[in-house]
Amino acid sequence: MELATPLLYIAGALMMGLGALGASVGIGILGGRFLEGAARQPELIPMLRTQFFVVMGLVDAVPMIAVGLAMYVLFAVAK
Amino acid sequence: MRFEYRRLIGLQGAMVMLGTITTYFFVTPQAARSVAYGSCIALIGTLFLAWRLKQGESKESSNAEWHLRQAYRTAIERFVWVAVMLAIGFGILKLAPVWVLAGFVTGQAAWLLVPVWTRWKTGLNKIENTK
Repeated sequence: MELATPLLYIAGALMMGLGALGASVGIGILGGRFLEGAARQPELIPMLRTQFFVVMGLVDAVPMIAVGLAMYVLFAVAK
Repeated sequence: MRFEYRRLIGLQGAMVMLGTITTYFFVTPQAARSVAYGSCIALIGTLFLAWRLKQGESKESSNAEWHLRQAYRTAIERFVWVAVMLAIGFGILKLAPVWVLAGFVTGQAAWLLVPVWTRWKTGLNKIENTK
């Protein structure tokens, strides 16, 4: 029982950390592709930018849910 | 504002209202408050992203690096916004965590639904065009 609380904190930290890691890798790849596209066809930057923002929100959605779950574990379950 | 964002914000707004009303009538008013809070975090995050997009549109700079820097900054700001608001909701406002999270997940699910919806509509249009 004593071990449960620290394990929950570790679980919350892992969820938050791995979520952030996933988001950063995804957005990094997305940014690289955006730069490639912008270098090839600079006139398409406004369109690429909109697509970039839409996909960025999509990539961000799942890690943010992971952050929410981590907050739940840290604030509600661990108490 | 671009069409995709208007559609997304409309869908999220509908989800906020539907989730809150459903929870109010079928669960408790306290749970409805928590669901509204969680959904509003997601909705304000989307509005923030849309505002940044509009800011860049008005500038229409051909400097891709500037756009990329702004997008990364926005992603970090959104992440911090969500973490801080959830911590405030759970820690200070003492809202029901499960319902806050349910509202937040519902709001964020709109992000996952919009591409599916768009693809489905595009598919339907293609079918109609081939007829």
